Amino acid sequence: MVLLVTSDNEQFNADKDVVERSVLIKNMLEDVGESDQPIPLPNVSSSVLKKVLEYCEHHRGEPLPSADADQSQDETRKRTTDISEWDQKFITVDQEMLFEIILAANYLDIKSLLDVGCKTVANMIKGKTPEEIRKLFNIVNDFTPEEEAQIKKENEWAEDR
Amino acid sequence: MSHNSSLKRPPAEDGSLEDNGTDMVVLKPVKRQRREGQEEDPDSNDTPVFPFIPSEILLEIFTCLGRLRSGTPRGSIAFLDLLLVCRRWRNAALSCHDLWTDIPVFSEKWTKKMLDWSKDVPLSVNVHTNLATDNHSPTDIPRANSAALSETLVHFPRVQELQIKNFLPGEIGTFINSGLASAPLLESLQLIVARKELTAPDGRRQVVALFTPPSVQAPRLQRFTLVHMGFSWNLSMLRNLVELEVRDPAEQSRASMSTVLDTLREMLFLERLSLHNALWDNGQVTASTSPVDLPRMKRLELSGPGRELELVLGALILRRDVRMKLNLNGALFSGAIMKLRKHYPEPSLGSPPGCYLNKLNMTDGNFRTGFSVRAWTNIDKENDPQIELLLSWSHGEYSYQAARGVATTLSVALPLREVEEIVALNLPMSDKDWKRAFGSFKKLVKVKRVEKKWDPSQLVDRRFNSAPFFSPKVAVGVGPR
Repeated sequence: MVLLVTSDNEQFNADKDVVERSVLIKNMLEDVGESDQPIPLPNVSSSVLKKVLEYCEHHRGEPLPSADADQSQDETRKRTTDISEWDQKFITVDQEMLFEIILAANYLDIKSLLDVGCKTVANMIKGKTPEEIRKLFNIVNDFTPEEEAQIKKENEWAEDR
Repeated sequence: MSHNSSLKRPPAEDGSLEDNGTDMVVLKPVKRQRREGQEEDPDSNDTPVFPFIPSEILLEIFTCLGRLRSGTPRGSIAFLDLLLVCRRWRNAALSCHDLWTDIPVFSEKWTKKMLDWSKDVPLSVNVHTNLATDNHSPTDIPRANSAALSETLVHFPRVQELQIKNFLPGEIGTFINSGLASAPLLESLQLIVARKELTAPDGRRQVVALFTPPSVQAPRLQRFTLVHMGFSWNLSMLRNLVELEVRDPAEQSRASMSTVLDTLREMLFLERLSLHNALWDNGQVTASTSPVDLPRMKRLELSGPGRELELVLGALILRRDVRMKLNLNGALFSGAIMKLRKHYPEPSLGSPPGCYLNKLNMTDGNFRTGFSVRAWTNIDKENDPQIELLLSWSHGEYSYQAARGVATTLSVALPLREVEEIVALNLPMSDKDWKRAFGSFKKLVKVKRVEKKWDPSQLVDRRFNSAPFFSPKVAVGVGPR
């Protein structure tokens, strides 16, 4: 078992083969060797780690991308746009949690979870207008009206058929 | 440690737009400017207010977005809207080469831009050509133009996916021939030529080959779809395929059964095979033909005369979890059923999850449908592979009694009670017949039923009495086990 400590000082015990889906933790364990010392995760809160561990537990035993995986393997992973049914249910969370999971997956280096999160956000963006995207993610439009008009003109394509 | 080394170099964090490596207009460096009517927020900055997304993750999201192919000739044009969200998104989008890999070939300007922005990333090209005969296409589909095709041809060595729909040979034929002569990265190729039919001397309508693809030099080709064209079962081109679909090839290039089976024998990676009216029986495939093992097959779709499908099915060794979709063109099909049963003889295996006939599609066929339904009901549930059965049905005058017969058959057919979805077009069944047929289908969750008004006086056909549907051999003994 491995003891993990979150940013809000909560402790989680998890099986080694579950937490080792995180390349960050796997490397830490290899560096430290056999030890009872807890592993601090200052960038992950308890609520997010709970979700991350749920994901790792479900995918326990599945092959991990090896460190020396060739580029084509990485490409294949990225090009698969489907999200499995379980992953879809898992990632059906509010927007704040979704981005927290993505950030945690990036920090912990869990590529498959990062993929699920990014594909979910990509699906949210697809087909939306700039205004809808801004509203969805609370993004400020920092273009001046002149700049915006200029870009719109530049983006015109219908006349180019 | 660098745990996100696979992510691309993030764009400038300050949102400035200079030096973006593109020919897009360069905007002045950001000096925070409020838009008219916008309230000042002392805590806001140039990044999204909530939540903060690091640029490296924004790039990863855009990469995923680029992989969600539009499937239309507009390709990556759809992502131009991202450039209008905010400065940071614009910068990130222009830095994300994967976002611009779905090349539109209807405009030289945008073809050039996308080819430039995508740098050296593998491409997807979706071409829709201008056809006078293409009556079914929406008029707003942008058509390919020659300058854009020429630009794309230069970059063909990095084309990974190529889809060309409804084309006539000529200019596009040159593009295909030149490109496919050397396509080292090509993995997916879909060619759909415009359908052209002529009436043969015997009165049948025949598809005429307007185009035959060259011998493709694409060592990484995995998915190959050809519709309405000439095709030769060239093993050197097909050996490594994972998916193959051949639909309505030209009459003169329909392959013989023996050729197809000999080729399939060598296609060890094949997972999906769709053959639609693509075979002819040259008499060389018999019950003693050595079977073809397709160990990786997951999905098999066959359309054609029952006799030919029967021969193909009889010669294939398929795993029990193969999903099949069979669409017979009117001919008797009981032989194929028997062949199927022969290949799934192990009752001890039980049914894997989801292993049942789950969709019944009754669309535009003829009276023999009744016989087919009855034959299918004879399959043991526990030996039943995953089958989606498309039953042909006609709106002809002799269907009515057959429909009534089918209703009776369906109502007592235990395996069919697993059906979850039914499509029935022009099926001449009364509400009473319908209820009798499907009332016991407890798993039915989706029904599409389109009918027209039937005049019973037109639905009588004496020929029907001699149809196999009424054969005493199959008319009795079907019921709950």
